[in-house]
Amino acid sequence: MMRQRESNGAKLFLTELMFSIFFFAVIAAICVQLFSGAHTRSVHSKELVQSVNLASNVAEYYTVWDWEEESWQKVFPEGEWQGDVWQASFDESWEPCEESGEYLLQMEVVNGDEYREAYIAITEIETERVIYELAIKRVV
Amino acid sequence: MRNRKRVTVANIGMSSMFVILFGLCFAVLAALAIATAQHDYELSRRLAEHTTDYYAAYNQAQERLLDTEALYQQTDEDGYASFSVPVQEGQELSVEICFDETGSEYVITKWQVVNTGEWNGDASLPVLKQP
Repeated sequence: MMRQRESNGAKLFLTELMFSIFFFAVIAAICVQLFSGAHTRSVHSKELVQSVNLASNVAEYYTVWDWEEESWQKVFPEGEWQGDVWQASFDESWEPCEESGEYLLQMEVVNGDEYREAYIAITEIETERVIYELAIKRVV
Repeated sequence: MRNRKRVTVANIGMSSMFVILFGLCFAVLAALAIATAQHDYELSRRLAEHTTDYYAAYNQAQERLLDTEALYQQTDEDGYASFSVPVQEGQELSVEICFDETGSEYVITKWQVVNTGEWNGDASLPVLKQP
């Protein structure tokens, strides 16, 4: 009689443990997804801030130097002009790099009659997603 | 034998309690992480929006600078002319230029984002009413 009671208690405990593990797994799976979403959001947020800062820096340099090649080379030695497009690569920690990195900064200069307009865009190389873009005019 | 039975009974429900406790902890941490990330992103988005608006105002100001004749007509006796372009609500880009005697060339003397909104210094809350 006593052994049967103990056996029932153990069965109950094991059943509860099984349900607990199941629920814990479900909760953990949901929470991992939430943490992953928060991390992705945080990465996108950092990318956006870095891109905005970089684009506005380049825009300010452009307002001062226009497109004097020597001046650009001093500040961005890794950057290069390809026709009317100037571009520079950045690695995952947003440091300039010579080889193809994670992010690409491109500035296309369009000559008008009265203005010279620069389109600045920062893209993620792998997905070709434009993170931030900016247009700036300069009176010729 | 009685002791053994009590131990078995005490163990039932403990694992459920742990699951509830850890589940709540995870849920709170996940909610905090999501909220922080969302606020960070919102702040970054507003920064991007402000930068875009500033450069849109910058471009408008550059367009205004092309029409030197119209600006020259607005000059005061010292040869200064000024105009402003709205950036965002409560902010504008204020530009001032100074023409030379011939009126053909000018120097930009001011290029500044100024606050046009009214500052309300009384930000107190009616927590405790004075009798």
